[in-house]
Amino acid sequence: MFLANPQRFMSFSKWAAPIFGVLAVGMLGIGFTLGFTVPDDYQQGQTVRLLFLHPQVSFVSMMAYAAMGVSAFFGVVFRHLLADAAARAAAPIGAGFTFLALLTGSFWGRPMWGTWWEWTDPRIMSELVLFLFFLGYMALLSAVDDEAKATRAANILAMVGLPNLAVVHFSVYWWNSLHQGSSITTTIMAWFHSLSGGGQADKPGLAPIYVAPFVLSFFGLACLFAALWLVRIRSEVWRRKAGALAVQAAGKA
Amino acid sequence: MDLFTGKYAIYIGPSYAAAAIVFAWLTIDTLFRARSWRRKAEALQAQKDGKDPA
Repeated sequence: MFLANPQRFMSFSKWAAPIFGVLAVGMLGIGFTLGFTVPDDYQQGQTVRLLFLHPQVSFVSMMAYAAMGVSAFFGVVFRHLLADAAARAAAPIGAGFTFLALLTGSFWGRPMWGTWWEWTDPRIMSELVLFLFFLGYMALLSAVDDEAKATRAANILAMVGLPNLAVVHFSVYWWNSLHQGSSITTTIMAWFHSLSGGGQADKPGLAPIYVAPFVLSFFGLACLFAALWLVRIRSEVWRRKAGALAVQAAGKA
Repeated sequence: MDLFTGKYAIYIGPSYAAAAIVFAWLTIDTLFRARSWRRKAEALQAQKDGKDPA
């Protein structure tokens, strides 16, 4: 793997992180501006503005967990330090996105479903479990003094949480839920269907006027995650280097 | 732009405000942390190489 080498990763991320950052600012700026200028939805009214924030942060929270879980797997199986750093770096960003998914979902649920929170809803509960996995991972890292042991234990916890991603995604199909189906998957499938000249898809997805702000804000937030993740991994590499140099300096003294 | 008006502004405004706060915090924390560790590592490396870190 090209990026498994720390030196190659550092030289790649040095230019990739700012590019992702600029892309994020540009796409989010245009996406959110468009999102606030499109007409209200005939059913949801003005709350359709949350369509350009809530599904995106929810999907990116799952992406962040996948990044953390897969990195944790490589860290455990191959004992690769950069994989450990990548898992550690994804956790706080993922926790932030998952917190926002729960919060914005609650703000959307109140006017649409008549409730801020529903304990029996499988999508809300599985997203809450995702949030708890992020918090548990970070708590485990800071609870054990031996960093190697803490990293290994936290990585195993992250791997245990990976199947929950399938539960989050498919919960709306497997069980009765207040929550609608997957907006992002449905929209992308409908878009591909129309591109391939297949006429109207089985599930029509979003009204065409909402597609551009929806897609731009999704890719904008994905780029924001990528930029923050890369910078945090770089930060981890420097932290380890500083730790190693400090130990060497203490040994000489 | 219809950010903070209308019947549902009480739900839309706080959602975007919370998102702005979380993204700003994540960005600032990430950048400050990276700068801090990079400086520390560079200072220790300079010390090891026998150079003045300043």
